[in-house]
Amino acid sequence: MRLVGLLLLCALACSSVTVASAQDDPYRRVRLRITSVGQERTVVVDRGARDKVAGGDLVHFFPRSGGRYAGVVVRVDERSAVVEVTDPGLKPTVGMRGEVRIPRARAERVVRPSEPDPKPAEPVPQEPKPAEPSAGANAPGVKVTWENKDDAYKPGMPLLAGVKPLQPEDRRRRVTGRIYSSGALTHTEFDGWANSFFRIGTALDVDNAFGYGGRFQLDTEINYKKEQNDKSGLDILPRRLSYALGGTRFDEARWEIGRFLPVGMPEFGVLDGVEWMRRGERSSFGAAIGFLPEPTDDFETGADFQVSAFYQWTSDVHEQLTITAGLQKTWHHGKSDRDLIVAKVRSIPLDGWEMRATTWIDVYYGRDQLKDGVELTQAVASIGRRFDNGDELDLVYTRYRFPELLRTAYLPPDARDIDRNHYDRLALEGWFGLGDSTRFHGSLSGFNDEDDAGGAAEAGLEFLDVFAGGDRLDLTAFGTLADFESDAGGRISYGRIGATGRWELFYEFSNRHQVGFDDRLNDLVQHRVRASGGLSFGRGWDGSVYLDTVFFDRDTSVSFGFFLQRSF
Amino acid sequence: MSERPSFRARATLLALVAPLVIAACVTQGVRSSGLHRWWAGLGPVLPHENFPADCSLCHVGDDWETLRDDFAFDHEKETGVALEGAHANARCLRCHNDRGPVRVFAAKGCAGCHEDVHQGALGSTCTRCHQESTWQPVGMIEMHSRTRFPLTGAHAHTACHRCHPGGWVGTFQPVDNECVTCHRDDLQRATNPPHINLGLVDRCDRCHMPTRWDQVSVR
Repeated sequence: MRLVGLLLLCALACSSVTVASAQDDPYRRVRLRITSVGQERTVVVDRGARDKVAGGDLVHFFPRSGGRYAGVVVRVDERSAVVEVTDPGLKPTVGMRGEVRIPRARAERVVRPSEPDPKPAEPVPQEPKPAEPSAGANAPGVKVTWENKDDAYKPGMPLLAGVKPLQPEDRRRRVTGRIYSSGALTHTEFDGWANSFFRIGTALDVDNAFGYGGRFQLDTEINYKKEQNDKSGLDILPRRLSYALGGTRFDEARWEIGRFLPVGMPEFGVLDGVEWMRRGERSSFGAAIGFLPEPTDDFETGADFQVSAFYQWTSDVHEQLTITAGLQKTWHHGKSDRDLIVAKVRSIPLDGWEMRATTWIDVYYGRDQLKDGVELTQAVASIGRRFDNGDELDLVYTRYRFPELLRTAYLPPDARDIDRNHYDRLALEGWFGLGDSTRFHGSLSGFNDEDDAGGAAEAGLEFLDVFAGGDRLDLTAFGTLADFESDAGGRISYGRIGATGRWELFYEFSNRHQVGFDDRLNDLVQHRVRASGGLSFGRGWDGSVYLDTVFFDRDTSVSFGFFLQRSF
Repeated sequence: MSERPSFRARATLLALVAPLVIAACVTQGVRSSGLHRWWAGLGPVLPHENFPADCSLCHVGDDWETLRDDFAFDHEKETGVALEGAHANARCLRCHNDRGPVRVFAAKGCAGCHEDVHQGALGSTCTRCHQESTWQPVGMIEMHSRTRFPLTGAHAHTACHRCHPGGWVGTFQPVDNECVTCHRDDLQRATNPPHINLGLVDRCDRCHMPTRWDQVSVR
């Protein structure tokens, strides 16, 4: 019995040091605990060099609240090690459990008793010492003996020699991208009204295109539209044609030339020109110059010239807090047009919180006809909380006013709209688990514009694995108080997502109460039925189709669409 | 309006720009050698310190850039991060590349890797409209029900760009929701009665239903 007890004790002791793993696992996983929490996202753990821990080893922490968070060993002492917590979501505490992965080849050097001491052999006193290095040692004819015995190396151990990093210009040219086609056909019974579109496009991405380590990108479409107005026809939409150089770990400066969306400040819009930026450890800044294509279906360019600059401050290497500000000045056909300031804040603190805000601020001078001074034209701000169990809560605020522009960007509002129109919206959205396979989702929003105020509410339940594995049933009720109508209705959808395909059936019923009509006409009942599906065919091919029907009033509208893509 | 730029606007612009320039000068060092701790001397794009010693498990011959045909990597098991939807079939170098450590970019969400073609105007929660299995947006008509202009009748099947011209290239901006904003052509064609001559150029909803132009309620 004593022997059995001793064996059990030994087994228990062994199991506390190593996590049981399959024999073919190339790693040995050693359990550890946090013994102290330091600054700069570092912690000290109770394993060290005697446990064969080495710098660069991957560590995972398992807090009591659940989850798995990564860290990397940055310093090793005999019985402890300093670990940098790389996962910003973890709030480390003393006593928290974890494990470190040690390559089995290294770990077993101490486990096997027959293995020789991995330390280099001590010099044997009676052997003659090697000659002192001298100027004549490398002279021709002098025989040099290599005496550093490689006695610590065994087959299967990692190579210890450093690896020369492959520079971007050393890499093989690599072409990736996709070709795609999509289309839609809509027909309504009323007046034979119909519209359709068909597009075929490609997006190519060529690494090291010209041997300098740069990146060439092409993204273009051919579109055919058929509508009941004079906008029908064929268009070529060159979305992107650019060449970028730098911006890698080898080069902090980055250049891009051509047609592209600027990396530093995409809020300024697609550019036909040049962008330069420089990324540092705690900050980035850059500037861009060129023409702004009009954001229409053919991206016409040449009318609007811009210069812009931005600066971004970053709190730390993990970019948990970034503050960015940029300035853009535009000219329309040579005439001074827009002075725009864009300011952004992004905060990703610990515990799943996230806060983002972007503001577009226009500065008007006396030469503008309708506005003067500084105006907050547009804003998007959100604060959200993601919980470990998948629950989520978001509060989002959006604001929009028409800027006074010479540029032809959108449907041109008249002077009255520019002067008085505004749209402010605040929305609260959430997803909460009600068990293993049931989830509640809801949203509550309110808006205020120049004419009215209103809002919308939605609440639904999502059931997973109802009839078969991977299926999903969703029941939602909704109501809206809008500008011209108030709606109430419900939706039901059922579908399944598998490894290679998905499908969904959807039905919506709603009563749409029109504002300003008499009792005979003010209620419209609307039904919507939709069937959709998608499939991955393998070898980079995937596609999807949908059929959507709306039954409203005494008419029916049908829309059919498809999407087919080949990635390579 | 005065032809001279207003003093207040200039002062405001200066007040906004000056701190920006000062902050840039103060915080920017001569050289940021620890560029996101992703030094040029670190070796391969993916640090290999913890990888198995047998290179042939992944690599072919003497070409470090080519992986074996039967190369497989359980991303969730090895790293704790599951690759969902189309990410599961993406090439490793799409995320692990020379621009920096992937965890920094992953912490930014979708925008860490995907270009925001909406130019920031639609916020940062891409999953409201997009899915990881396909980037094609879904549920747009339902989402429009939460706005001040739910899509009723034929509006539900009207191409987005008819009302949001920038939508064709991804820039969705709110539009004035008066009927005439999108139906200006219909107004000009209306001759029975001649709307423009009679001054019937706005408040279409006083007579017309949102589902069809010929259904009129005259009050």
